[in-house]
Amino acid sequence: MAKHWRRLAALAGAIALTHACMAADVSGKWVATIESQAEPQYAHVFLKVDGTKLTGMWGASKIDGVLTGTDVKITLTYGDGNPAGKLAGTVTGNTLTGTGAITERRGRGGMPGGFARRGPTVVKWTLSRPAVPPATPRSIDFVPTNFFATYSAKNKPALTIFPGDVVHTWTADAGGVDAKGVRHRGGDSNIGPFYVEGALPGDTLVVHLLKVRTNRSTAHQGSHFNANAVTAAYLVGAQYDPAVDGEWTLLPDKGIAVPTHPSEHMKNYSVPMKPMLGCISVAPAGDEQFRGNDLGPFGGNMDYNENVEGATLYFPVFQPGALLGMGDGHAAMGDGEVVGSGLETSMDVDFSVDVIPGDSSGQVRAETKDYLIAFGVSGSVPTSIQIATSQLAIWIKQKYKLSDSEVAILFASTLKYDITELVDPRFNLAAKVPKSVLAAMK
Amino acid sequence: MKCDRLIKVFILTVVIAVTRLCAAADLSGDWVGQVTGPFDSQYTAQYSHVELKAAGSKLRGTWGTYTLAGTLAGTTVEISLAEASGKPVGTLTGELSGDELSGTGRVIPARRGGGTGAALPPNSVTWKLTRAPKRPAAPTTYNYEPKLYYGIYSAAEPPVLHIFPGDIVNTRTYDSARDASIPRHGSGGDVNTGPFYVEGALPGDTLVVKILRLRTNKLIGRQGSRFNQNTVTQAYQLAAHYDPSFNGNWVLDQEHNIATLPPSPGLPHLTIPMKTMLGCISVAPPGEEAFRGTDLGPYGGNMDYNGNVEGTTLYFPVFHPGALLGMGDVHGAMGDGEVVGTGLETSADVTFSVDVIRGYATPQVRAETKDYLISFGVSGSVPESIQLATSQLAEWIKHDYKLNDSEVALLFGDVLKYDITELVDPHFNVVAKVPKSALATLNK
Repeated sequence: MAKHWRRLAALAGAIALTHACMAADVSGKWVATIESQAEPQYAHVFLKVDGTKLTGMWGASKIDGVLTGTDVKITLTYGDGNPAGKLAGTVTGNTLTGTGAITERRGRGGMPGGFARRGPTVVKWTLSRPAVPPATPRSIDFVPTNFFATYSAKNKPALTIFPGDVVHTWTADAGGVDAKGVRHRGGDSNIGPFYVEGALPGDTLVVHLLKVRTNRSTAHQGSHFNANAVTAAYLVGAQYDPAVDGEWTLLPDKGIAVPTHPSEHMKNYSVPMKPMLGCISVAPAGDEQFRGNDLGPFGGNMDYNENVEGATLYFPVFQPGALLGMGDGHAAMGDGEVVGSGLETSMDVDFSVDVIPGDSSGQVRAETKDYLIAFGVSGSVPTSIQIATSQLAIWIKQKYKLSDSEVAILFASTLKYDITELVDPRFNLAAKVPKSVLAAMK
Repeated sequence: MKCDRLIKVFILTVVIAVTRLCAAADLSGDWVGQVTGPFDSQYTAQYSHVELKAAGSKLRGTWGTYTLAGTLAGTTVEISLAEASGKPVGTLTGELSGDELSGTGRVIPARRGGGTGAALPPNSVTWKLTRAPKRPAAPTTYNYEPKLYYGIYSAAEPPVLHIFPGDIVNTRTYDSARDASIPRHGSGGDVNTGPFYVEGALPGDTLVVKILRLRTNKLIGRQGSRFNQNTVTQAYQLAAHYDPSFNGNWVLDQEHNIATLPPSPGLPHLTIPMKTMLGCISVAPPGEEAFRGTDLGPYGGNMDYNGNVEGTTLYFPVFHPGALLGMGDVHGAMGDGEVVGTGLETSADVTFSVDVIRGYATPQVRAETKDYLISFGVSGSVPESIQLATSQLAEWIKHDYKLNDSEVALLFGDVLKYDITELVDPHFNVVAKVPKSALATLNK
């Protein structure tokens, strides 16, 4: 019996010891937030504990540290061996907090020298545990109540989702009118934003458009050319007919749209439907805010007529959770949106998301059944062409391990351009390469 | 009986003589009018379709867009020209000599851009009317083996062959590289075969060119492997490391219609479908203008559109009598924008036929493929090219389908497509196009 008691005591001791160790077990995945006078910075962090020794990665920097009780000291080193900073702090429950000094890269433009001459930046830092995804991806029916017409990190998330979750929802038209005719906020408003767990600045948010279908029988379209689409002489000479009212009747069963009050010449006219999302966005960087019809590296009102069911979009992430939004469905739209609108209508949308950590592009990219696509959004068409081509070249070089000469000759023989958006505050061009060629070249 | 017969013979002789006399002076029919002003050369003179109807000594008809009234007394002709509104434009006097009329006159020059205001003072002109060539009963098929090629777009380039609408020409093109064994006119690259003089084509008309067959005829298509500076950002351009010995000589496989790049480490098996296209297709540019072979404009030229393939029909504004059609610079395939400055440069066998649409022309070139009606916009900037292409396509569709401005805007808002054709040559080229399937549902 005495032996039995001794065993019990040993077990109790072991359990107590394990508990003590667990309280200070900081190994595993963390999300770092660094606050200074500049924009907050975030990083994926992985810690490994060996006795009192800490190793791991803080974003792209290497961690060497010491854990003494609840005290933590960390030295960060850039991938090229240069010092990245020193941090000190304490463990409190499932959080680490502290202060430190970060040696910032001179950074922008990759200037030679690599490091600022200015002194290290004094920061406050926090490590918190990433949210734990559900055991199996969820299927979520989401009824939008918030329609935001400003792209901004200040928009409060309407729903938090994990990579793999499928969201079933709907969007109103650009004017804010939904399938039932109820009016919400317009101005190319987006539903959401959806906070995507695990997405941090520097990552890529992947959005799969699983379903994009019109959900009512009406659409509206303008019938005056925008000033960017035709010559000044044409614009001055044009005599528009108020009887052409731009009302459309959607016949999804037949896959076509027909004018509701057709003029004589358009009595038998029909357009194949190709439902697309005009707006799809993440929150822009820092404190920036843009109105709903604007577009940029954050996406927004890109108005690409291939952003249809089956397309996948890749966004650079600028804010934790990415803050995904979407709206402005068009039942069909010609290139360039030359009359300032597509066949504006509301949509049923199913989508899922994924995150590619630690890799991101300058602007938005996409993938359709047939093409890999890079967008170029800027204030001029020529610059947009250059951005789209360059971004696509960088992507293909990285993905297929091509040299500059190889990607140039590949594009010279197979590149296609789409003129996407001519009439919004910025221009959008798409450069694309056929997947059939990419698939065969390895 | 005998006397009676003699009388009959006499009457017959008189009738024949009178008929002869009338026939010699019957000016009715189609003519080509030339008006040469005091400052004009043969290239800047104005050429028009002229139709004369003679009734007794009276002449009526049209001279280009003008109405014509006049008299013929013996061999002396007097003609007055007027606008459709009746406003007088000028008077011409001259002589009939054989089957040609010529003389002098005074003509008020047209104001550019349809300006109103005081009429300009009349010019002293010389003029000439020659009979319009008659189209033969059956079309001719020509096999034209090029004896030279030309690298300068100019009306001064003498035609190598005269053809009529409906005729078919089998010929071949050279690639943009120089072939030292054949004489070349003009120092510019991107050489053309021709020019072909199309009978019946005059300024203000549209020359229709059907590319009936276009097949590469050699095994190599050479291509560059550096991005042109218009196509990528400056940062990309600065950072790019190009391999100066990169082998861009594609192997063309006509049997399987594919092109294969010599293996490189990252592209061990790059094979693409061939889509043989004519980089250059041109008429002579207006007046005395001369542009090098790489250039492009309202006369076509180095348009580098990868839809100008077998089966495509092109529509050119005609600037000179005979239009002076040329073609060359074949690519076995080419991506949009010709981003490295070349396609898969090669040569080809070409079969084409021509037609003329009289009295109607758009400012720049248009095309039609199996699926699309297409308008080009060539200018010094991409945005302007977009506007030109869109506007010209809108004017064309409005004209052919009798749409109003709202209807054509709505149509374009639904179904318009753009192609960025040429980013790297002296001018930019953008294509606007509408699917023929959508147009087919319109009521003309």
